[in-house]
Amino acid sequence: MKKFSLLFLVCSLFSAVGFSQSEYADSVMQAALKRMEKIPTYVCDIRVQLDVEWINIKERTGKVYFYPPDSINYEIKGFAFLPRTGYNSQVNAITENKYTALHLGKELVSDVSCDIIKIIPSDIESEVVLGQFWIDKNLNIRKMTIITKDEGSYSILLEYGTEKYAVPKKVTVTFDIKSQELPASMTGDVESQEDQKPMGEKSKGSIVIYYSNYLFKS
Amino acid sequence: MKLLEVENLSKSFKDFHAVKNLSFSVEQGDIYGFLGPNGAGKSTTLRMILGLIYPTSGTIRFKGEEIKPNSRKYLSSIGALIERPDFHTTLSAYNNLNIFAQLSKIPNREERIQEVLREVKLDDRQHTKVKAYSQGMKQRLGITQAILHKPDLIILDEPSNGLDPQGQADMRELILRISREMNITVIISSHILSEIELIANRTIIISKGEKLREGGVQELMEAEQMNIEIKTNDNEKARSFLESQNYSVELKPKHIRVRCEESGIPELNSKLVQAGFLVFEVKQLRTLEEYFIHLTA
Amino acid sequence: MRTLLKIELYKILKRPRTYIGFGAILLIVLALEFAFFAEGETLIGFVFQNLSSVFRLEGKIITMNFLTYMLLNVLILHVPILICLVTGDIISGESANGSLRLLLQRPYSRAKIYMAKWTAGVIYTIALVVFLGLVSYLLGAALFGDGDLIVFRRGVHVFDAADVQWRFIGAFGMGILSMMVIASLSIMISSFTNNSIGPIVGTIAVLIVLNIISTVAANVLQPILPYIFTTHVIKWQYFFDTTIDWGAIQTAIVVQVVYIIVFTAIGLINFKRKDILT
Repeated sequence: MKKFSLLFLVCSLFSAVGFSQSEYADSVMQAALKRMEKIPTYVCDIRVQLDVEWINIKERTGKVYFYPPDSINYEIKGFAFLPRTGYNSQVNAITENKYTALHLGKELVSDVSCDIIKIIPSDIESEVVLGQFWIDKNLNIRKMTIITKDEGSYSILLEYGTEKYAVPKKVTVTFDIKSQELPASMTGDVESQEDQKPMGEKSKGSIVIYYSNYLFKS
Repeated sequence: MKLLEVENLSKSFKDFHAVKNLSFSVEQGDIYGFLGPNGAGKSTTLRMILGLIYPTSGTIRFKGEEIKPNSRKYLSSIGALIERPDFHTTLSAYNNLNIFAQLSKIPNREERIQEVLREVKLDDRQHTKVKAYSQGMKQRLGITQAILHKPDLIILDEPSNGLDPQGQADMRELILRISREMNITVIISSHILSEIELIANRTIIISKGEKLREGGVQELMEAEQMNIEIKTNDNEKARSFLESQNYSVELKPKHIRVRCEESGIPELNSKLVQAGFLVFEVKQLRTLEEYFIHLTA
Repeated sequence: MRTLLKIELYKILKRPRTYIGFGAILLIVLALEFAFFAEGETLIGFVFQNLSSVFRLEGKIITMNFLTYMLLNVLILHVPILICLVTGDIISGESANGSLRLLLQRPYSRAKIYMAKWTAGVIYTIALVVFLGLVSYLLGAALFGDGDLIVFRRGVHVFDAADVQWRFIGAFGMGILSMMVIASLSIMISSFTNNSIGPIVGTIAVLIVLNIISTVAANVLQPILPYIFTTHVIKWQYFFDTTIDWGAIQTAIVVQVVYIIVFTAIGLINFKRKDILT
């Protein structure tokens, strides 16, 4: 009888700890989300740099217009390769549906101590398989890694300045990308026929966006 | 003055000798007939004079100066119509002549074009495209491009080709006018021998690339009027017989040729008949055509 | 020489077939540009499928520069055919219709006559290529406006709009040089024949055979490829590399200039020596 009671006590303790860990992770996540929700409409200047082995493009400059909760419009001089969605949308995409949050401890990101929150979507059909967030004590998301079913994995690193809202000064998106080479018969570049890489060969790429001169409309 | 001198001119195309050691000269003021059967080498010779074909050997002199393979300056004093008159058919007569006038650097180009068009009576059709021209009109236009730059010599190869009798007569008249009024020496090659007989004062007859005769037309005719062609039932025996009678006789495939003055023809005929020969034909060579056929046979 | 050249150009302008080339180019440009105007997104969808799955593509893709670049590809086989239609006929056509005879009776050296015809042929060639460029550019400007140029060549290159004009000048310059080789070849062949169609067919046959060799060359033929002029017809594309291989461009220029000189010399020598029998 005593043994069972002890066992019961220990199990309850562990559950309580586990349960409180999950609760804690969720509370951190929610707090970070709330901080993000406070971001008002803004416009700011951006510089975009792309780093993919087989894409050559100079730095692009322009403006970005943000409309809460997560709508973005760009005004870029010329043509640019940009992330498919803004980091706000990506966070919302994972957290707007049911999920389980786990706290995996702490880690330094850009010399800042962050809680590691793992998000596991409850919906088995969800495009996102797994998400992991590094959130600092000011409730800014410093880093996120998203694993999807069909579009590979990508991670986003955010650096912050002195703005009062949770808006970054620099965002680095790292992703997987398949090589893109049109057949030589289409491009007329018959010299490179033998040197052509096989289509669809995967490699890593990144986009870095610098944000500055934020103008908020409260 | 000798305007054109050709000395020992030869042209071979691989193994075929188109012209062999041809020599002749054209005096200033001549209307010079250039005769020969098809393939005799007339066109080849005329093209060599014009620098269209390069001689294998021999020399050509124009106004005393030798024409070298790369000589071109002398052509400003020569005009020519070789074979058919080939113009740019999508252009009008006027535009075609304008091109030639510019190439020849003629002063007062417009005036000169109108003058020559009037000369050949094409002034009212000068803006019609050449493809709409009749053969006669094209031939006349061909003459105009030849005389446009007032040359010293014009070379006409078959100028009456394809023309009806009236057209031929008009062409003859034009050539005579060109010669007399414009003081242009003319070399005319033609198959219409009666035409040459009417307008040429000197002629050359060539065959298989070689000269057969050269000289004044009348002079050639008069010399040949001493020759009689006779057809008998046995030409070979007739030859032997006449030779025994001290006639100069040549045996030809279908007749014999006897040297005899006109007044001696009845006696000649009588001797043959008395000797038992059947005389089918006695012909005196009178026309250039007959002379030509006889010579080139 | 100036008079001769003026007359040769006049003759070219007066021939209906001269306008076939310009008409064909106009039709090609109109067809392509209006196709892109109507259904550009669909047409390029396949090309950008991979990229649009990873990126948000911001900015104009279909611009006048993009269309002009695409139309430069007609230089490879189509423009040479249009050039031959005129230059292949420039001597043999006159030989066939007899007007060469009348021209050669004028007090001009055969060398001058040949060079006048060659120059007129080259002017026509340059006019055709410039026409391609101008029509592409101007129609493209009217329909699509200016913008960056995206080139799929050994990867993806995006050139700023301001960085594109000098590249097109270089590319069209190279294109003109390549077409001059073809013009010189067809004029050379034209000096050997007395009919209109032979040089045209002959030149096109040479281009097709050499193009096939250049494309499908076995390793054993690799060493001679740089010396085949058709290999260099696509060298205009080098102006659309981020880092331009000036050495390769220089080689292409030298090889093609040599071909122009050789073809012209052969044609000239033959023309000077030949007997005019037509």
